[in-house]
Amino acid sequence: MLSLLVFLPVAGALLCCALPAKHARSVNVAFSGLALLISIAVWQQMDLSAGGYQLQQQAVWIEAVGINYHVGIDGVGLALVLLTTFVSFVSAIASWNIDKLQKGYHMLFLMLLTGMLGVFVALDLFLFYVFWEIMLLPMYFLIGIWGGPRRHYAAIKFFLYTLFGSVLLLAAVILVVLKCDTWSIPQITALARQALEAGDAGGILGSVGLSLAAFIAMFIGFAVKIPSFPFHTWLPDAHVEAPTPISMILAGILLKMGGYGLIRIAYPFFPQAAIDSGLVITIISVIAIVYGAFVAMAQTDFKRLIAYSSVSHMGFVTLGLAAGTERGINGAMYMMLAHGTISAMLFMIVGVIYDRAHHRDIDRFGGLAWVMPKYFVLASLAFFASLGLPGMSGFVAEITTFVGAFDGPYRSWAIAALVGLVITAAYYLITLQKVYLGSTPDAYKDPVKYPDASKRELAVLVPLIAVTIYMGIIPSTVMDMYKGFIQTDLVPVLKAALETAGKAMG
Amino acid sequence: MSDATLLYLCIAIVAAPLVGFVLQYAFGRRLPRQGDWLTVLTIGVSLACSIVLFLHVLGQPEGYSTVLGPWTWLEPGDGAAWTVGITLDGLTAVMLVVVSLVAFLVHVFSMGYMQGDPKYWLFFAWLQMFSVSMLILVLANNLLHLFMGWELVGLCSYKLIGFWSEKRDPANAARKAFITTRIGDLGMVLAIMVIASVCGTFDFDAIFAKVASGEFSGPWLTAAGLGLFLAAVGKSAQMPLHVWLPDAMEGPTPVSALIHAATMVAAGVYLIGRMMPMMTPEALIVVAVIGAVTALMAGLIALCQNDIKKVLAYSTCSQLGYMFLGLGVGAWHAGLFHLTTHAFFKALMFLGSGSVIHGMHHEQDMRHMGGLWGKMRITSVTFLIGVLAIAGLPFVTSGFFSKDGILSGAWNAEPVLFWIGLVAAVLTAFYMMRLFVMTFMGAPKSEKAEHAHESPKSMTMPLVLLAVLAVCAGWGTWHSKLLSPPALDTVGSLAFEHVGTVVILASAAGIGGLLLGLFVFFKNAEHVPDWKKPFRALETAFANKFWFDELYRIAVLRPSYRLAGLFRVVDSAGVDGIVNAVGSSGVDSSKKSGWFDKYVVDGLVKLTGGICQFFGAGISLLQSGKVRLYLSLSVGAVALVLLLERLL
Repeated sequence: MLSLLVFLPVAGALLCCALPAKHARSVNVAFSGLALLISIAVWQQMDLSAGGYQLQQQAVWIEAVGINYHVGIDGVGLALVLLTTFVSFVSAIASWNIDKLQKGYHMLFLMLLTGMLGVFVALDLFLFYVFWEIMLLPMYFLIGIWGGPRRHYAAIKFFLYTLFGSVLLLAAVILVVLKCDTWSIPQITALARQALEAGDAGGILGSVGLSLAAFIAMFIGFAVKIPSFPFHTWLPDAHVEAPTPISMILAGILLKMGGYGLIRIAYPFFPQAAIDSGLVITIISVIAIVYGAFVAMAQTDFKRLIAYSSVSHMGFVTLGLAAGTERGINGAMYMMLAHGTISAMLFMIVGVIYDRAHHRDIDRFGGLAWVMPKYFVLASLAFFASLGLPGMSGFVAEITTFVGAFDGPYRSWAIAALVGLVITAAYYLITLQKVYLGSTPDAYKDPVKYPDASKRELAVLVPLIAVTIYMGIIPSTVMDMYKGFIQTDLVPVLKAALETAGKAMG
Repeated sequence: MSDATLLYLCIAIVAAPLVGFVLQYAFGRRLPRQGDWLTVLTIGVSLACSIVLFLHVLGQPEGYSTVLGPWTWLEPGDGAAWTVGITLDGLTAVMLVVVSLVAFLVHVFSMGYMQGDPKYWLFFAWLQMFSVSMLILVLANNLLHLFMGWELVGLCSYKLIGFWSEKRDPANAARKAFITTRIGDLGMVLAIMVIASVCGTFDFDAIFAKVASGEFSGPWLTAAGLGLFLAAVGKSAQMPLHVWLPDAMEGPTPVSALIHAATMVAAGVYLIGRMMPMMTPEALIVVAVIGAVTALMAGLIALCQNDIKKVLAYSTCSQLGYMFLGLGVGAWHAGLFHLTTHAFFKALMFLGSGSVIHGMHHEQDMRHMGGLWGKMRITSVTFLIGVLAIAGLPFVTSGFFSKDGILSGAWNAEPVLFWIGLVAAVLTAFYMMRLFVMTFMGAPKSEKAEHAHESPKSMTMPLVLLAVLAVCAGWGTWHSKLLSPPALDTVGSLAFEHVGTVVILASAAGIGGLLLGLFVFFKNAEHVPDWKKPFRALETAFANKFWFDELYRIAVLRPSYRLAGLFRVVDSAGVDGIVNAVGSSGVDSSKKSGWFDKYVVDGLVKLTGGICQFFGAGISLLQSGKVRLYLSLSVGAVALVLLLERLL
C-alpha cells in the first residue's frame, strides 16, 4: 500500500507524457487527489495505539552491500504524509493556470510528490537518501524553468545549497553504515539506544568526538532544508522566484524534510551528541525566531516577507527539539504541521494578488479589502493564524513549544524567544494594513482587473484554512497521531542522554 | 439546579452569540434590517441565561464554587492534560451578568447609532464574536482556556477599533492596540510556561492548591504573578502600556462603551482577581503601585483633553488603576465590586457621549458643544447620574460604595497609596464636572450644538436602564455575598470594610471635586485662562499626555525599525554575502579549471571522440538496412557471448 502511494504519482507523470499537454493539469489534480485518498486509507489501516512501524514492505535491493527496499510508516511519518498529500493536492489545483510547458511542469510536479512521500516512508538509509535526492531535481527545474526573472540564480542556489547539505548528510550516513553494518533506520535507532543504555557515551560510532562530528554534519544537512539560521538565505531567493504552487510546496512540505530528518534520524542516532549540542541549537533557534521576524519586518517584497516569517516560525521546530522534552518535541512537530498549511496558504495569498497586480511591493498596495472582500477575509485569517491566534493551529504549536522549551535545560533562552511573538504580530499587522486597509489607490479600483478570489482560488484557500482551524480547535486528533514515537522512543533516550551529560558535568 | 442544567445554561450563554456570529457573518447582509434583530435576540438569550445563573448562585451559601468539567482538550506529553472547563462561583456570576447585560444594551444602542452605516451588518457580527470571546474568558476554569478567550477578545477589539479602517487613523489605532496588548501578553505566556512546568496543569484550583502546599513558591511564583500582571497592564491599559486605549476611541462609540470601558479592559482586573491566591506580596506591591500611579496620572491627563471620548478613555484608565490599587492592597472585594459598578456608569457615560456625538452629527470636540441640557434631556440627565456615580456621591450612588471600599483598604495597608487615591478621587470629580459643564451647560458654542437633537428610543432606553443600575448597583448586600473573597494567608483580610475616617474623606473628595468643578468651569469660565497661566508647564505636560507616545516612538519604535533594517542588510550582505562569496569563488576556480578542462581534459575527450568517430564510420558500414546481415550479426554476437561464458 505504501509503495502504491509512493509510486502512483510516477504513473501519473508517465500519463502526463503520454497524453496531450492540455490534459496534463487534470492528470496532476487527479493523481494528487488519488494520493490524498490513499494516504487517508493508510491512516485508516494503521493501528496508531500499537505504535511502531506499520504496513512495512521489504525487499532485497542491492544484496552485496545490504541495501533493502524497506518502507514503513508510524505516526510521525503518517502526519507528514497526510500533510504532503493534502498540500500537494491543493497546490495541484493552484497550478491550474500554469501555461508554460504544461506537460513538463505537471510531470515534474508528480515526480516531486513521489520523492517527498518516499522520504517520509523510507526505513532504509539508502532508500531515504535516494528519495531525498530525487526531490531535488524536479524542484530545481520547477524553479529554474517556471520561475520569475532571477529564476536561474535562485534555482542554482537552491540546488547547490541543498546539495551541500546532502553531501554532509551522505558523509554521516556512510560513517554510520560502515560502523553499524546495516542501512536499516529502525535497527540503527535500536543500536543507538542500546549503546546509551549501556552507558557508552560514544554511541553507535564508539567515539564521542566522531559522534559529535557526524551529528553536526547531519544537523547541517537537515538545517539547510529547515532552514535554520545561518543556512537560510537560499529560501527567500527560491521563494521569490518560484511559481506560487511551488512556493506552497516548498514552504509547506519541503522545509519539513529537515525537521523530519532530525526527529527520525539525527536525534535518535546520536542522542548524546544532540543533547551536548543543545545549547548551540537553542541559540540558533532563538536567533532564527527573533532575527527572522525582524528581517521579515524590514521587507518590502510580500513574498520575501512570508519567506522570512517561515525562517522565524521554523525556529520553533529546532527550539522544541533542542529542549528534548515531550512537550517541546510534540510542539515542534505540531509547528511543522501547522506551518505546513499556514505557509502554503500565505504563499497562495501572495500568489492571488501577484496574478492580478504583477508586482509584490507591499508599499504600493492599499485598500484591497474593499475591492476583494472574500480574499481579504481569507488573507486576514491566514495572517492571524500565523501570528498564533487561539482557535487556529499556530497557537497550539507555539504554546506547546514554549512550554516544552521552558521545561528543558535552557529556560532563559525560551523566555528570550518570546520577543518574537511581538515582532511577528507587528510585521503581520503592518502588512495587513499596508496591503488591505486604508483607502484604495485608483490603480486597484478596477473590478475587471481586480476581481475577488475566483472559485479555483477559493478551492485552494478554503480547505487550507479549514484544516488550520480544525487543528486549532481539536488539536488532539493530530497530536495523538504522532506523539507515541516521541513519548516511547525519542524522549526517554534524550532524557537518558541528558542525565549522562549532567553526570559528566557534575 | 443540577449540574447538567447549569452546564446547558453555560453552553447556551456562549453558543447563542456564537451561532449569531456565524449566521450574521454569513447571511447578515441579506437578512431583513441586516440582521440586527437576530443578534439582539441571541445576546438576549445569553443575558437571560446569565441572570438565571446569577440568581442561582445568589441562592447558594456564601463561598459557593463549582467546576463543570473539565474535559481534556489536549495531552501534550509529560503526563500533562490541558483541559477546558467552567468555573461557576460568585465572581463568574457577576461577570456574566455584567458582560451580557452591557453587551445586550450596546447591541440595542447600536441599532440607532450605527443606522445607515454601509457595514451595519458586519458591526453586529463582530459585536457577537466579541461577546462570545469575553464570555469564554469569564467562564474558564483554567488559565490556558482563559488565555484563548483573552486573545480572541483582542482580535475582536482589533476588528472593531478598525471598523472604519478605510480611514488611516482607525487602522493605526487598531494595530497599536493589538501590538501593545501583545507586549503584555508575553507576560501571560511566561506565566503559562512557568505554571505548566511547575504545576503540570492550568486548572485554577490545582494551581492554588500547589501554592497553598508550598510546592509552587519562590521567585518563579512571583515571576508568574508579575507575568500575569504584565498581561493585565496591557489589556487594562495601565501605565506604561496605557497608550493604546485613548487611540482606540477611533472605533465606533458603542465599541468604546462595551470593549474599552465595561468589559475587555476590565478583563485584566478580573484576571488578577481570579488569580489572587497565586499573587505573592511582592507582586501585589507592584500591582498596587502601578494602579495608584495610573489612577493619578491618567486623571491629570483627562483634565486637559477636549475630545469627549478621550476624557472618558483616560478616566477609564484611571478607574481601572483604582481597581488594581484595591486588589494590590488586599481590598479584593472592593476592587472587583468597583469593576462592576464602573462597568455600568462608564458604559452609561460612553453611550451618553455616543448619543451626544450622534445628536451633534459626529462632533466630538467639547469646545464646540454646550447647552445640550435642554435639547437632549434624557441624555443629559442620565449622563449627570453617571458623573455623580463616578465622583462617588455619598450614600446614593454605586460608585461611592465601591470606591470607598478601595480607599479604606488602602488606608489600612499603606497611607501613601491612600492619599494618592484620594487626590485621584478629587480629580475624577473635578474633570468629570468639567466635561459635563462643557458639554451640557452654558450656551451652545457652535452651529451644531444649536441644532442638536435627542437620539431615538433605541439609544435612550439603554441609557435609562444603565442610569438606574449606576445608582442601584451599590445598594443591598448582594455583592458581599457573591464577591466573598478567597481565604488567603499571603495578604491580610480581603474583606470589604468601611473605615469611618475614610468615608468622611472620600465623601468630601467627591463632593468637593464636583463643587470645585462647578465653581471653576461654570461660574468662572471666563477666568479659567487666567487661573491656568501659572500652571502652563504642567498643562503642557498633561495635554501632551506626558509625552508617552513620543517617548515610545523614539525609544522603542524607531530602534525596532532600525534594527529590522540593520538585520536586513546583515542578512543580504553578511549571511547571504558569505554564501554568494563561496559560490562565486567556486565559479572562479571552476573557470580556471575550466581552461584546463577545455583544452586538456576535453582535448582528450575529443580525441577519444575522434577515434570513436573513426571506428563509428567503419561500423556504420554495417548499418546497411539489410535484415539478413543484422540477423547473422546477432546470431554471431549471441554465439560469442555463450562461448565467452563457457570459457570463463
